Order: sequence, then C-alpha cells, then structure tokens
Amino acid sequence: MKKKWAAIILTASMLMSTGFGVRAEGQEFDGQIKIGLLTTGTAIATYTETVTYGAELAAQQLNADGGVLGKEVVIVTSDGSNTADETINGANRLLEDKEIAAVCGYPLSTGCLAIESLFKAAEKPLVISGTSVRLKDETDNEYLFRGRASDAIQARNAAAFLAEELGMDEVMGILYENNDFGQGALQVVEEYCEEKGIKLVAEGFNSTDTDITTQVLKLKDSGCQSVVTWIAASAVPTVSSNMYNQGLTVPKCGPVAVTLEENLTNCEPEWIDGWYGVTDICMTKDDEALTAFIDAYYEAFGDDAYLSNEGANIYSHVLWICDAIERAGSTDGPAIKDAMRETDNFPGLNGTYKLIGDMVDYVSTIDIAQDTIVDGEVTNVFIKTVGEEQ
Amino acid sequence: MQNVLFQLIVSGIAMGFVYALVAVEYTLIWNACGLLNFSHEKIIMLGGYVFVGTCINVFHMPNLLSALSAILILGLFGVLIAVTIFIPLRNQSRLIAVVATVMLGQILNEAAVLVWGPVALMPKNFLSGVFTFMGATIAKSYVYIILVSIIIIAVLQFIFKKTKFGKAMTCVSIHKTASSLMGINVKASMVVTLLISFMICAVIGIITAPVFTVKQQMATMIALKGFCAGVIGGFGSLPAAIAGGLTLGIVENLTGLILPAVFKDAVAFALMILFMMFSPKGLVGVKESIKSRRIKKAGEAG
Repeated sequence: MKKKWAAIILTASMLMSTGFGVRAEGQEFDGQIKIGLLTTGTAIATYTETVTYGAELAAQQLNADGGVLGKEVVIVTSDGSNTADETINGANRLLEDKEIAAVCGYPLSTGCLAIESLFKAAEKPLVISGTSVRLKDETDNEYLFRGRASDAIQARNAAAFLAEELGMDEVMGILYENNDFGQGALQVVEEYCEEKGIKLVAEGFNSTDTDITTQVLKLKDSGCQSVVTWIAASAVPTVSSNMYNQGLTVPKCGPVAVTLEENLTNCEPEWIDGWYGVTDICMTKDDEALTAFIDAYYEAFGDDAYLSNEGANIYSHVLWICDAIERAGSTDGPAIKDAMRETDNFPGLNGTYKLIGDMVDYVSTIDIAQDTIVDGEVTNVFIKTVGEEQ
Repeated sequence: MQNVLFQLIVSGIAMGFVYALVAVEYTLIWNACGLLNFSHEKIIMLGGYVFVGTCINVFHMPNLLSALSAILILGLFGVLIAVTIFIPLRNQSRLIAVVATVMLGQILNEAAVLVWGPVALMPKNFLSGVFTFMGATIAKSYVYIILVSIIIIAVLQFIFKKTKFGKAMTCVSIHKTASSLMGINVKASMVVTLLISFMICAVIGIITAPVFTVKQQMATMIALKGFCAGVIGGFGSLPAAIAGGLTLGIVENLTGLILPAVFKDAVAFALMILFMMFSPKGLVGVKESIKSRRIKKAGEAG
C-alpha cells in the first residue's frame, strides 16, 4: 500500500508539473469526498495561502488519478483565525457539514487544544499541525492525529545536533520564550543535557519583552559553546539582531521560525547567517518527491505563490487521510480513524508516518537547515535529516 | 563584568528614554484633555507600520524621508482623532472618552493586520550596527534612541517654557475654564496637543522599529512601562517623566543580573506599586503638583 501512495505522490506531482493537474476530461466521479481544512484566515495569511494551495494540489492530483473510492476529493476551507473562540467557530462550521470525512490544518497548539474534543465527540479524525507536547500529554483522543514532529522531538534534535554533530558538548545555552512553547523546549533540552552530562545555561524572555540585552550578555558571559534559540517567528529579528550586535557568535539552532522566508526577509542577512534551524521539510533538500511537489505547486498556482513547509505538510496530510479512506473503504469517521491508526510507514513529504507510542504522534523525523547568504539573500541549505525513522 | 554592566546601563538608559517619551505623551493628553489615551500603544504601532510597511516597503522612500513622512502622517491623524473623538467627547463622562480610546486602539490593531499583514516588519539598514566604546559593544539604535529622545524633550521644554502657544497649552492643562475666559482657544490647544502627541508616538514607533520590530504588540509593554515611568517620576512634568523613565529602564536592566531576566517586568511593576504606596507624587512630582494645585486654586478663586 505504501508503495502505491509513494508512487501517487511522485507520479502525480510529475504529471502536475507538466500540466496534467486537472480532472481528466470526461471523467465521471461517483460523488464527493470532502476533506475539511481549518486555516488561520487573514490572521496568519501566509499560512492560509500555503496550506490552501497544498491541500488543493493534493486533491487535484488525487482526482487526476481517478479520485478516492471513485469519488472526487473536495477541499472545504474554514477560517479558524488565531484566537481560541474563532478556532472553535471555524471547527464547528466544518463539523456541521456531515459530508466532511476528516479535517486537517491549524498550526496553533492552543487552538488545537480548544477543538480536539469537538472532533472526539463528532467522531471525525482531526490531523493537527500544532506541535506542543501538551497535545499529546493532556489529551485522550483517538481521533487526534499529528503528522509532523512535536516540539519535544524538534527541541531534542536541535540540542542533539549542536552537541553531537557539531561537537559542542560541554556547555550549552538555551534562550527560550517564557511561554508554553519555550518552556516545553526548555524541559526537553534540560533532560537531554542532564542525560549527556552537558552543562546547560538557560535564559528566558517574555514574549512582550522589547530588549533582551541582559539575557544575551549573560549567555555570552557564561562561555556557552552553542545556543538553542527557541523563539517564535515574531522574535526572530529582535533576537538575531541582538545576538549579532552583542557578538554572540557561537552556533545557534532554533525552531522552524528561523528557517521561514517571511522571517528571514525581516533580518539583515548577517544577523541570521549561519544559524541552524529544525524544520519539517527543508525546501532545498535534494529529494525527488519534494522536487516534484514544488514544481507542481508553482505550476498550479504560479511562481509568486507562497510556499513553506506547512504547505508541504498539509499536502501530505490530505494524501494521508485519503490513503486511510481508501484502506477503510469508507468515509465513516470511526473507520477512517482506525485506518489512520494502523498507518504503516505512509510516505509523507516530511517523513514516514507511523504511530509513535499509543496516541497522536506519527512523525519523528525533521530536517536540519542552515541559513546561508547566497547572492546577498539568506536561503536555507539542507544539512541532514535527523530523528528516528519508524 | 564591567563591560556587561556598562552595556546594560546604556541599553537601560535607551529604554528609559523610550519610557520617558511614552510618559511625556501620556502626560500631554492628560493635561490637555483630562483623560488617559488607552489607544496610545496602537498609535506607536501605527507609526512603525506607516514608516516601514508603507513609506519604505511600498513607496521605497529613503529612510529619513520615510521617517519624516510617517511623523507628518501620524500628526495629521492626530488632528483627525482630536476633531472626531477627543473634542466631541471632552464634556462627556471621562469613562466614555476612555472607552472611546480603547475602541480606537482595537480598530487600529485589526486594521494593521488587514493593511500590513500579520508578519513582523523590520526596516533594513536603519540605525543598524554597533559602536565599540571602552571595550563594550553598544547597538547604534540605542544611541540614536537616546539622542532623538533628548532632542524631542528639549524641543518640548522649549515649546512649553518659551513660546506663547506652549504657555497657553500649559494654562489649558491647569484650568480649562479660566484659560477660555482669558481668551485661549481650548479646542485649538487640544488639536495641537494631539498633533504633537501623535507625532511623538510616530517617533517612538520609528526609532524603536529596529529594536522591537514592527508588529501588533510592539508597544504593548512600553506603553505600560511608560505609565509606570510617569508614576515613578510623578505625572505632570517633563523632568519627572525623564527621571521615572531612566530609573525604570536602568533598574529593570540591572535586575536581570541578579534575578532571572524574565522577572524584569515584574520588578518594574513592583517598583510602580511601591511608589504608589509610599511616594505617590513620584521622584520629582511633589514640587510640581503643589505648584499646579496653587495655580488651580487661584484660577478657581478668580
């Protein structure tokens, strides 16, 4: 089965790239299969754009290949904005449509936590993009699926990369945002350093802080050999400029935010040059399926279309859901849920999918990318894929 | 350690001046209109967005011209807000006017996302780079913040002390009715106050853009800290605002050397509470307030 889906991803992407991305003329479908897509609307417009295109591309390719169970795959989008109440409204709008088989999307963990019980009650699978460890630790929901590496996996691998790959294994620093996201990473990195006998120097800052000179100087003064910088997108320019200005030149590894184009364009190239970041998919990776996807994406939506790892993730998630529907032979929620739980090495663009532990997580690998100045602009250079394959 | 201390004091002074400017801006509107402007932080944000999001990114204007344009645009916006919100509501309950400023802030916040998008903006090649002084590395942006703040405060001091219009504004702040009876145009005074106030907000948004980046929450904390600076220094005078701002900026920065740096906000607010409890007139506010009270009493008697 996994070979079939790997073949679909590759061949359909190639077909798309050569202009075969629409339903074959005269092709008849026996009804529709609706997949819900919960976006952040204009609140995070770049996310909405790339995931909408990613989901649409997956649907187009599946339909060009005859659909799923002979039915046309249709993406139904709902705006969940970036606040919990709007996310609940957005999720309810999707759940009101009884024809929707499963829902994917939504990157904010607080919103995912707010809606997961709705899907459990409705018995509809929800494939989230939120990465907080709380989504695993604080939920008991068989209908909840995460098709990307959690913060715990990402933070541990960031620390492991600095210590084991770069050999910075005596004193490590961590600069974290003092919120759920940063505290989660701090806990994981603390555990890792304790396990490996590495001295850890931790400095936090509040999300509303406008000046982090104190923290950067303390890290510099501590003699740390490397720094895990666990920061949100909005903090990337502030933190990178401050570290650059204060001369904190040791290797740094951050979350996906430090690899995203929209954040890098807000930084002077020299601030961020050389930073490492963990990301679901490094878009410059030499990978046949990824290259085919990227070509198909721009072919379908134009060269100006915004593409990030989130778009590739959602593309994989729609294909994953449809794979489960086909294996279940049904669009019934519990049947799809069971099929998804039995997923055995489904080939997503961001890794192979298989249940980790007993619930929620299905992907354990991430890419390490390095921000590098090329022709005066910062671009991501693929370093390696890390994490344990299932 | 000496270098670290020096760097922290310099960045503390820079942040202190930012807080002082915010406190000055609060004070101006409080004096002229008798209400606190709770849309304040969003006006600063707007200044940053107009500067980077529109003047630089859309019209590709040079940095200096962009800054001047943003200051002018915000000044005109201040006039508009004075005419449409502050003047019509000046005789209403203070609560209504305060709610109006809160709502104005919310509207600006949502409008900013729609117009400039959710991604933080950063001006390129603007106040960037570092100075090395006595072995310490000082970000140029901090030095510029200090210089610009000193210039603004000096200009304001000149306006209030030496110009006829500035003296009229001071009179309005002390007693509106008496000022009106003396032939001072109170409405015009409020319009000019809002013009100056919004231009100061624009300057704060511009000079802090390289440090904070331009985003919806860029001024949330400095607006609160500016209020703290006003309380610590003593509301009502420029020297008080500067004293409060500098005290706050330096103390909170140095706190980070002793306590985990995440507690520096808590220290700032604790300091404000202590001043409210034990020295409600602030560091230099006592003399000013007594003087103001005497003038006010004289006005009421007259």
